[in-house]
Amino acid sequence: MKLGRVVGTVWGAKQSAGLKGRRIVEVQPLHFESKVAPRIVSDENVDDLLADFTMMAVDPLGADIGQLVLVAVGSRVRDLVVGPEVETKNCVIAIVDRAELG
Amino acid sequence: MILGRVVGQVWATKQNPRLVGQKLLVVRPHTWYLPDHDCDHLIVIDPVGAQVGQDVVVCMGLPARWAAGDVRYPVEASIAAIVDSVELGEGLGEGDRGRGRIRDRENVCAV
Repeated sequence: MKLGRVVGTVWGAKQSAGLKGRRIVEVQPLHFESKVAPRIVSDENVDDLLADFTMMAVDPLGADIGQLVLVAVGSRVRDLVVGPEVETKNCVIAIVDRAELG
Repeated sequence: MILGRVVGQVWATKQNPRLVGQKLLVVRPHTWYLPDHDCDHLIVIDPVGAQVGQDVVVCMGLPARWAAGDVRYPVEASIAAIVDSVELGEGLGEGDRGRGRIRDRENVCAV
């Protein structure tokens, strides 16, 4: 699983049947490398900690733009979270309040 | 499986119902040994009871759900073991394949 911030939502006028009615979000994962991370990471202070790529994930929890989320990757996880008919491998499994770094 | 160090913990209120009550930890994979990882952090479920600062073995995929005790957990990374010590063969862990890096190697080996 990865931590990331929701940076956008995706809407498709025409989409495959499995994605119909599903909320799809664009998530930018966190990247701690060579940066001093704050002790408590929340959606307010992750601006400097974002990776330079984004990923799409299906979101059954309804995360808002700017929120920190936990994304799980894999078809089995997808089966368990949203069902096997959804054409994605990335799923939002939690909306994160904060991460405390020791 | 991946060797890494627990650096923190994650709290979430709204989450998949099967994750409720589970401890989620932030792990930084060690990159000085050969396996590389596409992201520099990893959130794992912790059935073992690891503490921040400890080195752990993280297993990925289906075995992660086995390690967590239930294949219905919607996770793909789980702590399988807490590391006491790591012994490396001569010349290993030096990043000689061009992508590994030594990070806290002495520290890890002495834990």
